[in-house]
Amino acid sequence: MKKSRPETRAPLYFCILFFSPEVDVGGVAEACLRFTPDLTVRRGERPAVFLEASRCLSLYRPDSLEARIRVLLREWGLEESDYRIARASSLPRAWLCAVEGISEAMIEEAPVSAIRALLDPLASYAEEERKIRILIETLFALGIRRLGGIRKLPPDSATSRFGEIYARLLDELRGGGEEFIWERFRPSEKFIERIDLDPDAVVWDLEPTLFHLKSLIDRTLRRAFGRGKSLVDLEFRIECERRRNRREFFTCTRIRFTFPQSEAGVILRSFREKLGYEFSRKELEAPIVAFELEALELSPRHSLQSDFVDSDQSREGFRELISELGAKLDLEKEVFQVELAPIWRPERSWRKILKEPSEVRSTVFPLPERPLTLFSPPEPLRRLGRYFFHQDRRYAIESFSQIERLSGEWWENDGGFTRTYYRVRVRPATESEEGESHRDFWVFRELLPGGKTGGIFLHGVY
Amino acid sequence: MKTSPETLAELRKKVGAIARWAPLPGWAVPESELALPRGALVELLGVGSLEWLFRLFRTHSETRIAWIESKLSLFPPAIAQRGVPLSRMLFLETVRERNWALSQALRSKLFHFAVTPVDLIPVRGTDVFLRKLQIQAERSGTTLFFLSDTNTPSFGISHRIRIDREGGRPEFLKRKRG
Repeated sequence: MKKSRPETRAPLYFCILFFSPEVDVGGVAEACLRFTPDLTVRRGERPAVFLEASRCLSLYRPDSLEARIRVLLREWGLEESDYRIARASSLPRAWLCAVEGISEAMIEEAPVSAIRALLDPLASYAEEERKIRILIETLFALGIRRLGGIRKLPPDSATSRFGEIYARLLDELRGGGEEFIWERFRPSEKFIERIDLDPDAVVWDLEPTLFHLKSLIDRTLRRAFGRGKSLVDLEFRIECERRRNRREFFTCTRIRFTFPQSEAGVILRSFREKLGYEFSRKELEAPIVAFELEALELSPRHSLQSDFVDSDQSREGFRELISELGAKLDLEKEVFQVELAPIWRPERSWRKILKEPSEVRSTVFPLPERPLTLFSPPEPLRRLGRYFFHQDRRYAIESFSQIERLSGEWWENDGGFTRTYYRVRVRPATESEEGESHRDFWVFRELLPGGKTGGIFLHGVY
Repeated sequence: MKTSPETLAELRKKVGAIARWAPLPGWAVPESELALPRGALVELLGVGSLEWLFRLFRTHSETRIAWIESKLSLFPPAIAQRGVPLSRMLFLETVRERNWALSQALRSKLFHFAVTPVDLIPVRGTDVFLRKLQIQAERSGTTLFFLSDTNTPSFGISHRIRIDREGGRPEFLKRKRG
């Protein structure tokens, strides 16, 4: 049987050229990681992001990928007039197409000055700048105005005249030479998004703050999504106008989520609660001039694949609920799930936890049946003849069963415990309650150190 | 075929009657032929109510439960012993924000059942409070149980069930619909 070889696709490069040098090209590149990990950036006066998309063409058609990139850039706050997208079979050709605003088929019609774009697309070979300038001037002097004219030169004499640079140029023009070598983009370790406000648009209140925070959260989430991550720990900083020549923070609000978050709405609601409190607690002394959101911790985004076909999205819903409850309640103390622990003392035989419901262990230890209600601490019982007295009530003892001796924790300071438990069937004997049906108490008698018998306690009710 | 107005009126009457009798979708109740509607407010009375409640949870094994109390009185090992996996339960133990926590749990639409002691219902504005809960419970399809020692004379509670002894049959004292 023949083994099929993976199909090798022809390279396809997308170039996003930004017209403003102030664009956060690193941030856009991180967000583009969702499409392909094969990307690089050009920084400086004319920033750009290059995506090598041949490996993701089984997921996107070139047109749909371009449409998605446009949507991403729009969400990033960029207008169509702020950038240009071009695609070609190599990185230098894509850059040339983007710079000149032409399609790949029109490359030969580009002016000779575009040689620079073909030979140094990432602006990383400053030492070749002089050679390229001489080449352009010479070609111009020879009467060559378009790139296509270069191919009309006799190759042997042109190569001996211009050297290796001419051979590279010819390769790029033919489109079949050695692939241009570029360094893959590595996202920055710091994950900070910032908005500096215009001096005429300073902010004093909570609502406009939340408005700006929302766009910061959106950007941070998109960057995290590009890396296949969710947000766990976030810090939001509000910076006020400088006083006494130093930067002043109005507040630094930090939220650590129990479960990784990927929903902007949930994150915003959590911040709204905290910021509402901060704004009501103290007044702003100077107007807000900048906002900064830093992701201090990220976590792998498991739900990216596992919830792909999950219709009810219960896992995401559970995370949202916990985040919302966490705004007012103490997580793991007031909001919790339970796991059993192999400890004999009944009060300590379980512990509070908070994790994904599917990760909660539901172990059952082979123990005699326990009561559903437990008194913690155990309540003292008084026994008189065939009656128990609990608080102001009297119960007639009907029968005993399920006798069990529990002891342990001798290493503790209090010398541990030794208890003999009984399941006791009782019937209310107080006049007002007579006629009520019987119930089962879980009662223990304590054995004190030295063999002395301690009191009787009611520990639970079945 | 021409239908006379009298026949139509009669048919409408019959259809209306059937629509009123038709039980709402709900949970089958152990030891009873009746069903508990989803989104109902149910008061549980009697010494066997807790054991019965966990029999109900065990019967509907795919459900999720929110348990809201000021101080947790449940003994978790006993829950596991009753055949209800602890992974299905979320506990909210709070005094100050109990109503808010219950409301959040209902709003999340994650839980099929929610349980809380009846003392959560305020003495003043009982009907308004219960009506709000009723709307939230209906929207989320969560059946809300109030654990009670004595009969609460609240109009807003749609079902009242008494289980007098351990392992006993449920006695429906009140049943508004379903």
